[in-house]
Amino acid sequence: MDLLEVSKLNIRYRTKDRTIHAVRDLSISIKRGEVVGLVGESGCGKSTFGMSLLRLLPVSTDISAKKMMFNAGDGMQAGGIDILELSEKELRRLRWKHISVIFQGSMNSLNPVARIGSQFADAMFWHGFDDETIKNSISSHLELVHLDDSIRKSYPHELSGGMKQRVAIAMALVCSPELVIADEPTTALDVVVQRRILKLLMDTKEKLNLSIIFITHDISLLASIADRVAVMYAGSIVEIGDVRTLFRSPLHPYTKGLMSTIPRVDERQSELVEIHGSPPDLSGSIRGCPFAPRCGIATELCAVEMPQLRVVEGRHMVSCHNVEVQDGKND
Amino acid sequence: MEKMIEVLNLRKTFGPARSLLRRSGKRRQVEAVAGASFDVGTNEIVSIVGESGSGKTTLGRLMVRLLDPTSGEVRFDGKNVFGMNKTEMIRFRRNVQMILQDPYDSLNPLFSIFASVSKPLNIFEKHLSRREKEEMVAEHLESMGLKPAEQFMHKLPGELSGGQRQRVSIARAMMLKPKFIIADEPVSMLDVSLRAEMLNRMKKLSREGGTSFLFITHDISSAKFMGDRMLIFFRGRIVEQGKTADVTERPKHPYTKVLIDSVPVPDPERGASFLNIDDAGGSSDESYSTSGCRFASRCRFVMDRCRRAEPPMFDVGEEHWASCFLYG
Repeated sequence: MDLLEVSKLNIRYRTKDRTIHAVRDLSISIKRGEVVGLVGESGCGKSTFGMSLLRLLPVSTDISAKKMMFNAGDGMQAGGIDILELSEKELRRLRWKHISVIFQGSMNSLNPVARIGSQFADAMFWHGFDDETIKNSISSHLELVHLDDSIRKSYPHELSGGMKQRVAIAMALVCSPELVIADEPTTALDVVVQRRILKLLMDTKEKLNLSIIFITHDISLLASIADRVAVMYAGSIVEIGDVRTLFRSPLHPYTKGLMSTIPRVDERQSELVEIHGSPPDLSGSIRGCPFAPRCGIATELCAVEMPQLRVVEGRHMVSCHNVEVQDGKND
Repeated sequence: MEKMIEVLNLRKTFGPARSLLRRSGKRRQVEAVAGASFDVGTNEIVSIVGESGSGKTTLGRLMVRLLDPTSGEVRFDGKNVFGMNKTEMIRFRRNVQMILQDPYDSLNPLFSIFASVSKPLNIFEKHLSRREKEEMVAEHLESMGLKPAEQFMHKLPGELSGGQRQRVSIARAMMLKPKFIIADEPVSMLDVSLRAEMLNRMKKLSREGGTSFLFITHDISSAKFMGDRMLIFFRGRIVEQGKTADVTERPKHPYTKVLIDSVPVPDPERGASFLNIDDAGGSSDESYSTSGCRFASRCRFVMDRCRRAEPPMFDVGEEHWASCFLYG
């Protein structure tokens, strides 16, 4: 059984005068020990999806899904945990213990007026660990991210950006979760530090057999860390597949665009490929393919009919009218 | 090539000045820029690449005299910017513009787009009528792809997306046809799909409009795309400089090599080796040395002399220099 199974997830943000349909019919499942990269522009719903797994969205948000199951490894919950059915109290047990999160710019998610050690203790206290265990696991987790035990007495401002990011990773792991949602964990860091943080995350993942959902806007990062990559556009997954397949033969015009728009240090480019236009307004209903207005190969059909995610081969799926897929294997 | 702007041994130190009363404070002085010398030619794009805290933004601010240096000179058209009188300074301001990182912070939220973009005209072209100003603003907005301009002119920044705002900032910087533009991380806040467009636009502006650019960034890939020449900055010092192709394809300084190796390559086959590069020379994290070569504590090739003295710039190729004892 997969660790996480999500089927037909819809998330709507309600504001005073409009409703924003941020996630649209999203289906995905995550295996144990798998790293899934979720990539897309800002506003494509990738963070909204990540936060919905912990129910960390505003109360006014509408979340509905055909299925949103988390199958915890300890077998305590036969049939898995239905994330949408949990009460606040039950959510507290899910968060950090089963699913944890490394926030975007998590250097700023640390409490500036509390010492590192006490922030760890806070998170653990609520999961019923005793003082001795808390003390030991702070040490062992700081060691895991190559930090000296003495920094438990430091305040966040005394640490560098990279060190704070390590602390955030250690904290996310301290209650031994099965799934970590990493929401742009390296976006604010320099490339050199970024590479070390990615390496650290992958080493820890191997040691603890974690599953990771890695959310980013930089598709090139995923080549070195992800097992599978899902490309999101306007609230939906438009292409998903094994990392090798996706990088070697991307099919959706948006995926191709994302890959060719990046400046390369190992190539000479006289002009960069642009993806013209901007993503659609998610407050209304979208007719046809949401990418059609920006797409170079859009046809009349694209303007009127929303393409469905169809299987190309194996686990590779794409939603584009102009991609040939084998019939009869539609999902 | 004719020199547009010349930087001579520029130095900026932050922190408490040493005085009679406070000779030994607890606070350290920080050398944000420690003796930088380079120039930018007419029509040339020079990129400065460095990590956060390397002093690259301070250098940019010194060059437009938003900060005064501790010592050193910036020469514009042969004249020291820090010694200019008021009239000369006004002329300098007209010819030198800046594009800032965050389009959410760099436009006044209470000014309409027209008010922001026409502001330079109100100062430098007072004789223009409102109509003439509107025409010029419209022309510049449309050249940045904000079409039709009438739709944007009377909006507030809050009604525009991040990409549109950054286009407004560039239009504003170009308004007076400056000779020199400093762009400080102009695309790092933008989505990947917008970055390509902005970089293409700025490069085109420089090629066609005869404007020189100083492009400050932490991203060596976009620096490579933009620049004719490249300066690598580490802890306030230029550690390598040369033509873009030479620096990126034949890097000499160990820091430049680490920087290039750390750029994620969109190729899963090379993924594992990318993560496993040994760059640290045994040391952890982002530490740096406080004497000698600043990179010594992170360098794989460190020698005794690196810890004793700061390496000068060594010739490592045609118009290519690196400050590393490996080449001395």
